[in-house]
Amino acid sequence: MQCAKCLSLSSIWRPLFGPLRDWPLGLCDFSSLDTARDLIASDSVLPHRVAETFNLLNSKQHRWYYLKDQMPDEVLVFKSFDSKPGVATCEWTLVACLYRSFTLTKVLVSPHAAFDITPKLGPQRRRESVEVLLFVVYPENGA
Amino acid sequence: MASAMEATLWYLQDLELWKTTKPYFINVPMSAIPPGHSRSNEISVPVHDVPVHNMREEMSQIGLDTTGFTFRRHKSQIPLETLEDSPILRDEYIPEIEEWLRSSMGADIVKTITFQV
Repeated sequence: MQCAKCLSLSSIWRPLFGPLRDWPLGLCDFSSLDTARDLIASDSVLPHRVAETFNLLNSKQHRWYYLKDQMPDEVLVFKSFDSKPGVATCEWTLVACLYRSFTLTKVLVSPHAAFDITPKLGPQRRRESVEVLLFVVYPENGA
Repeated sequence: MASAMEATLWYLQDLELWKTTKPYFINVPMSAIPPGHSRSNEISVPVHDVPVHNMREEMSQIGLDTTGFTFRRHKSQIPLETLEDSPILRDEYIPEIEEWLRSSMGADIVKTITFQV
């Protein structure tokens, strides 16, 4: 199925100062995931609703990245979901359930985790960062 | 790779349990959890010495449609040290980010769901 418009759930993440050396953000290469095996849907229970996220099982295939010495004018852009054909199926029905559920079999996800590099570098200024999570509707042939 | 490093990452433990029981985490203060009950049934395990690659050295490997992430240059007009003030974050930084995504991605609609400092 083709879609002229695509929907992604994207995050924009940046440190408030730089270079960031304390707990940089690690991102896992989506193409290194075995989504059927590695992703375990998990309930995140909030007072007003139950959300769902994925927990990750370890695999030697996973390929992790970080942005060394990230500066405040460098933003990481990472997706939690995308309806674009080829990277995911085009299912507009997902729009309604995105708030509650990420339990979709064909989503594009970027598992992310912060990790500690201070043992190698010595004490560093504590991380301060800002993350914005957004819905993005864009043309299929764009972005 | 010169600036790849090794890190300890925490993963969900690979258990038969997850075939019959869904992991959960209850996002309320511990004080709201009845005594003797747990906030979560998740069991995490550290995996040591995981290689973590520097994106700067492998730009051709990363992209929004392949790895699911990238990095871009964006200089905010908002002094970043003011973002801990949530009205400034909400009323100035968020619109700036939305407009930047709209123009840089050619997006039709950009709508912020949540944000966190």
